[in-house]
Amino acid sequence: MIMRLQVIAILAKHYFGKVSQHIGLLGLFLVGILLSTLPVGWDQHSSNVTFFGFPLELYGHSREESLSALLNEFFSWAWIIVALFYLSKLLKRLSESFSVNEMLWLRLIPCSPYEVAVARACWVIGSALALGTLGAIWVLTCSVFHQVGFDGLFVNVEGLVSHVLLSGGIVVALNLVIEIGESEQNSISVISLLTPMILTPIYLGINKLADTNYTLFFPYTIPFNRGLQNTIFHFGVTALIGTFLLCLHAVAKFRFSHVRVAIED
Amino acid sequence: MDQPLLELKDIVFSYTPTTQRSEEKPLLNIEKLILHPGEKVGIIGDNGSGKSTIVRIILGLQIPAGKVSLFGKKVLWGNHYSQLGYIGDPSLCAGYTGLPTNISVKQVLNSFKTICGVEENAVDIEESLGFDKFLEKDIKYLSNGERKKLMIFLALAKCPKLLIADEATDGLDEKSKLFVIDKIEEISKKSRLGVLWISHQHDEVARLTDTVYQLIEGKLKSPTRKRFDCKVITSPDASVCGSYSNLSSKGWSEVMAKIYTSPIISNFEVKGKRMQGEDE
Repeated sequence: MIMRLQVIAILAKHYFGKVSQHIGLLGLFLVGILLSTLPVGWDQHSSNVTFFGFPLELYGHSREESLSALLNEFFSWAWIIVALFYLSKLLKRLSESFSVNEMLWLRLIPCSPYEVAVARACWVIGSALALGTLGAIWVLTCSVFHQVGFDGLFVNVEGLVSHVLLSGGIVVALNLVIEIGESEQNSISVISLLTPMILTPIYLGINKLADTNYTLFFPYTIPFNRGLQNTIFHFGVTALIGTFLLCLHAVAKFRFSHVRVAIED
Repeated sequence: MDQPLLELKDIVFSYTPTTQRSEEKPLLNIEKLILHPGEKVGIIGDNGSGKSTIVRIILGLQIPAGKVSLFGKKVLWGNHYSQLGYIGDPSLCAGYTGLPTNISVKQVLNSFKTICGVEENAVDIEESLGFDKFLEKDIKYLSNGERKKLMIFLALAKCPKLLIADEATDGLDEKSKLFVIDKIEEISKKSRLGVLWISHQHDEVARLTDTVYQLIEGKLKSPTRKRFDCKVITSPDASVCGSYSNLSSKGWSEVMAKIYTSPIISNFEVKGKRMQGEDE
């Protein structure tokens, strides 16, 4: 079984679409970087973080704590916007990529089922990495500009990446196990978009009831996560499960093949 | 004997759920349909007779009782068939029968050409079908005829081993229709193309196929009535121009109607030969 990288690259490019379709996303990150650097400051006298010169009193006591809290809030808002306007579209298109209209023409060209599946996985992982890269640039810029620690800010970037991976993984996994008609495609994308966040209260409930360290492996990811413990660990587990589901979907396609005439002319 | 390109055996299919089907006749009840390389089979039938359902079964979109195989292997929706060309009716809903959406015609063509490596043949088809007029359009905004042209391109540019055409020329202009028929004949001459041509147009089926079946009450029936082999020549060339095997009286009427209503045909000539069978 040969996996042709060129075919995967063409199919993944087909799924990604044009760069111009992602201009809004780039714009959001640029605005985010601008808003979280220039207008944000620290007032030495009142020991408050300031935004456009206005003191904000509810963000902690030390400079580092206050600035990190405010910046994390900015990232969380960006995360929400990305989830609503970018991730939802990505998941809808991913879900539709299993439907007759998206699949039939692909089935009739010389590519294999697993090449299409790998291209889909690359599309999701590539989107997650692209968002992660943009987020990391944002975090680094803020960290350098405000001279605050990198670790505390990075958690939301990790959270966003894990959200994309788990939601994408759920879409492909659901398409593997159940027969889905045209009308169910939208429901699947909405369910998978919300699932990583819905898992948070479930985790909190289980954590309260169960006296065990295994809850550390419980996957969830959520913005506005101030106050939650071990988020880096939970978000990491979420990302791993999402990646596993994407890989599983590609491996499952090995049961299908590219059927050709046995004896050529 | 060559391995069959397509094999349908003991097919029984109905859209009605099994529990409600006790007394109802199934939509399709096909004993046997085998297509070898180089064979051209036509299926004619009235609306609702199950013609398009046969295509859906072959493509793996419906699973009937019985054996369905393509290129010697059981048909599965997950399998890929790059040597199968399919031209269908794209009018049910934008893209429903096989064309992607949210993507321009140009993007699809580029992906297709790179993966299939069909540059030379593709240029000829692209030019002849007038793709330059809708190259930048999103597929979901294409007209019925334009979508049909795109399906024809995807099916023919790769020079398939088996072509399945379901009302393939409906919605096409006269020039494109002529080109499609000529192109299929050209590919057939170059390679041993197997054709399953499904249509309600008797003349078109007679033009492109050697064996014609009628789909009546879900069963494929060989014609037993008297037919003609004909050659139609027109001036100037029109899509109706060409050789027809086993032309039925209905097909003959359709040919004549097309000649009569065509605004471009000034002269025509028909040469025919009576085949064995009973009077229709």
